[in-house]
Amino acid sequence: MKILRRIWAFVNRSRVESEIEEELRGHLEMRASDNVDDGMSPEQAVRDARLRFGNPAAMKECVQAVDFALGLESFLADLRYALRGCLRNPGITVVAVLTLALGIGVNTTFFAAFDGIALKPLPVKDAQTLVRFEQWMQSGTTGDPQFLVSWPEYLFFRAHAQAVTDLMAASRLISVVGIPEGATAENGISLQGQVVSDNYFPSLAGSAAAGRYFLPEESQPASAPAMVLSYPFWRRQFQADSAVIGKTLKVNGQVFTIIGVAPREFIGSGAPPLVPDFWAPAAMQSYLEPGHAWLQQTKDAQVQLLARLNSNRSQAEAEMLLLVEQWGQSQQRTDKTIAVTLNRATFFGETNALWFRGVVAMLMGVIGLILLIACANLTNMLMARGTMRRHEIAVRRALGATRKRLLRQLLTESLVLGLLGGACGLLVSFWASHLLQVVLQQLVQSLAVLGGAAFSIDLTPDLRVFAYTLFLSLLTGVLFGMVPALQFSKSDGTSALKVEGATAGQQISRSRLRNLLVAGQFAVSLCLLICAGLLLQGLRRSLSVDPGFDITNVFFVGLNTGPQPSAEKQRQIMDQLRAMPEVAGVAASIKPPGTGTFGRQALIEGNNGAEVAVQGGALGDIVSPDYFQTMEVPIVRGRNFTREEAERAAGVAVVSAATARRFWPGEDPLGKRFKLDLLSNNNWQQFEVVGVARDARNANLTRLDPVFFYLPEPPNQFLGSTLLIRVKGDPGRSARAVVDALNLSDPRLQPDLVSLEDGHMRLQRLLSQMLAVFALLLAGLAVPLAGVGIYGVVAYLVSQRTREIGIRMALGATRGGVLRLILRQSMRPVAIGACIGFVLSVAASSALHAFLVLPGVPDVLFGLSFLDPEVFVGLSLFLAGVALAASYIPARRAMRVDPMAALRYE
Amino acid sequence: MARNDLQGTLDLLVLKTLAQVPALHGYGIVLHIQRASRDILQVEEGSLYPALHRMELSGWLSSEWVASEGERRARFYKLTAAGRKQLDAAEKSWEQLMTGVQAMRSFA
Repeated sequence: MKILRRIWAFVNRSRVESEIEEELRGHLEMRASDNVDDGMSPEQAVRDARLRFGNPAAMKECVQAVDFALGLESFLADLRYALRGCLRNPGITVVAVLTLALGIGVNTTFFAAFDGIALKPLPVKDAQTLVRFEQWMQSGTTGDPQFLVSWPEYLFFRAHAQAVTDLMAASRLISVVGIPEGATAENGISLQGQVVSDNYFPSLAGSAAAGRYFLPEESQPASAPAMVLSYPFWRRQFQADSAVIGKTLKVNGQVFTIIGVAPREFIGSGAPPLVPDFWAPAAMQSYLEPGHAWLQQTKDAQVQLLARLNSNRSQAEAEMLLLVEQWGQSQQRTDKTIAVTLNRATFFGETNALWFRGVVAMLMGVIGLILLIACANLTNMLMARGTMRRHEIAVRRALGATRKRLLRQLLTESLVLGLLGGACGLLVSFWASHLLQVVLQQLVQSLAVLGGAAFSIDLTPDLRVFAYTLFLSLLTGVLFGMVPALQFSKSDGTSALKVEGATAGQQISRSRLRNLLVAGQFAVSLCLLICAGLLLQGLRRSLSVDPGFDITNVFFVGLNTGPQPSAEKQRQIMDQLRAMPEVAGVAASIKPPGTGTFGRQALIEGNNGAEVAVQGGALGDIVSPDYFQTMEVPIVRGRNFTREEAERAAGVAVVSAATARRFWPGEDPLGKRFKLDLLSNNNWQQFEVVGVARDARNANLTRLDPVFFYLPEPPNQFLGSTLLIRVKGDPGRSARAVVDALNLSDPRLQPDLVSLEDGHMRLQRLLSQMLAVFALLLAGLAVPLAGVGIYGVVAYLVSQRTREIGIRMALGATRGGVLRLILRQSMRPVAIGACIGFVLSVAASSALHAFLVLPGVPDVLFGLSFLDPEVFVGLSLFLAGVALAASYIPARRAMRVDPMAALRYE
Repeated sequence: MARNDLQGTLDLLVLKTLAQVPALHGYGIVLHIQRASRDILQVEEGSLYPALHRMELSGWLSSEWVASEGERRARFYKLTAAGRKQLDAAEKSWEQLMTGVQAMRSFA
């Protein structure tokens, strides 16, 4: 209100002025005429009125000052002054703005990521009413099981739920090999499909970008398979050509007709935040996963649920919980659901989970620390500059400026710097968010478990991000400006006009604080740098790592085995291939290497009969006996299991050498026994170790499998439609010969071959490359932060001690002596910081390694020791060198101090 | 602590005046203060105006130009709701000051 009035007065300046004049004149005239009424002469009356009133011109100015918002004017003056100050010290301004830009940029980027993950609604129709079903177990199980239910359970809920409408189901992403119409089998592509309920598209997506969505009859089991493509896949594979509608795409050999393309903004329903390449009706599930049809399985939890809330949330949650309990009673479920939540659906499923909040809080802390360090740097720099400004401030105080007024001016200056830094930080974060998105995209595509799906998180900044940046800029402006502003404005005129104003005690405590800041920021910078170094070492190793099996001559073969594949047919095809001169070996396995493995609960039998559970579950694969020969994984001890053993379902297994070392160190692993819960239904099967295979990197190229079991195929079980073939001679020509032979024997097979090297292996190597990019970013932050911080402090130190140095030099100190003095003093906090940073880095590295206890977790360091001396010592020395260089610049200035000038100064 | 200074006192006098007489111009306020205080308080008339304008900007007063018959037009000031609240606060503060000074004086 006040401000509006003032602006109004500003705009109507002449009118307001004349009104003031009229009001004052009116007063004088009224007093004069009253005086005349009291019997004074007219001249006397006017004189008396003027005497009582005071100086009319001065009063008029006073009133004008009130009306014309001199507060606003003085703010503008402060602003002008601050900007002039920035221009006068371009060096300090540039360093300050860059430091802040880094600090704010990193924080804004992180916030943009958090925003994209946890705050932004899904880009679907009516995102506000869309909720995701999540159940909370008595056993405390978290993660995927909270979201997943079986298909029959879904149908039960859908039939009975009243408080929600449009109950939808979507499967996880299913990795398949697809061949577009007209492409040859060698050009098969790895695709991610998702099967969805019939109401998924009508409820969630706007009108199709091309074609249409599924018709009701297309969701019936007997209908012809159809698929809807995702926009990114359509663009990537078909260059957004709408002629693709009506064409076919072969998935696992089954022909699907492409009937439509989802709109550009529809990038799936999140959790995990991946965009499938295509969607298919749930009825087509068995084509995508031959050998694993789950639509009828009441205990096979495979789909997650989304719904529209049409009543209040708690009522709907209570109803769903009741339905879950009813269903659980009919199914004798072992775990009990104690609560159901229906939270607004975001890209990421677990944003309410404790671990997610913990991770966010931790990262926020670390990244906030970077900004805090940047602020500390600037505080130091402003303090250094402040000593030069002491005179100016003293003069201002002497001329009558209040402390409040000075504080306002000093804070305006730091706010201007803060806002400039924030603006640059926003630019940094635009760029960094974009980079992050690209990197995450690549990273996700390189993770074999996810099979190369597109990442669906949108990191473009929205209003929330801008508001956050503005908030941060103002906050940092106040934060780094407050201490110097308070300090300078505090000094009263007399002491500030003296040379060394502050008392000795104050100075010592302040310099200790400053040293602490330097030590802290050196520690954090060193920690960042060492993490970066470790990741870069990981990259170096990843390029030369040996997976432990042959990848150049081995091909995946995807076959169209139809909806009812038989083990006999598979056997036949394998025998036929084995007879070919180009083929050196054929094997079948449930999970070909590099496509991830299954993790199962395992119990290892010790010598005394006690059973030890394998932490995090065991990795393994079900393979045909010729697997070891085909993949060139030698059996180093004992023997392979035989076809005869496989056929009579003997409980025998081959384990990896690492498994033997881990569970039976110094003992003969042959004859040892272990139990596996193969179907995760508490039905334990016992196996006896008959052989030990050389270590390999089946689950993950990043590390040797810590626990890996090779189990024989159960009799007469179809092992998936993928075969492994090792060819002889020229791989390309031999592969073509295999395709031709298969086509000749049965045209329905429509085989496609992808070599292991071109398949998942190459993508896995990308992982470490992307991490290396992150590492470089970290390093790019750490080095300038440390450098700028130390520079600021030493510069301050030198400016404080100019006089002292002058005296020392006048008394005969050499330049070298002065240099040593300054450097010694500035390197002390650096040394302390290095020690703290060392400890921090060891802790960070240990935390990274602690995760490796779980067998399936990728090792981003590719087996690097967590205390790699090269990295730890080398980078510590490097950063110390940076610190030394940063303090050398101001130290040199100290060296050049002219004793006479320094003594005359002040 | 009771905060008081010359300006605060003037504010209190003006606010109190306008609480007693609904609408007055600046000169009227001067006369009222003089009369109501039995000629003890004499305001420096010119310095009243910056105070009036400041109080108006603070939202305590509202003003309006009124031309009555046969007379020149004048700016009349009125108390607003916020002004009434401010008056309460100022009176309280004044009383505190008075109590404090009184206690000080009677301290043996």
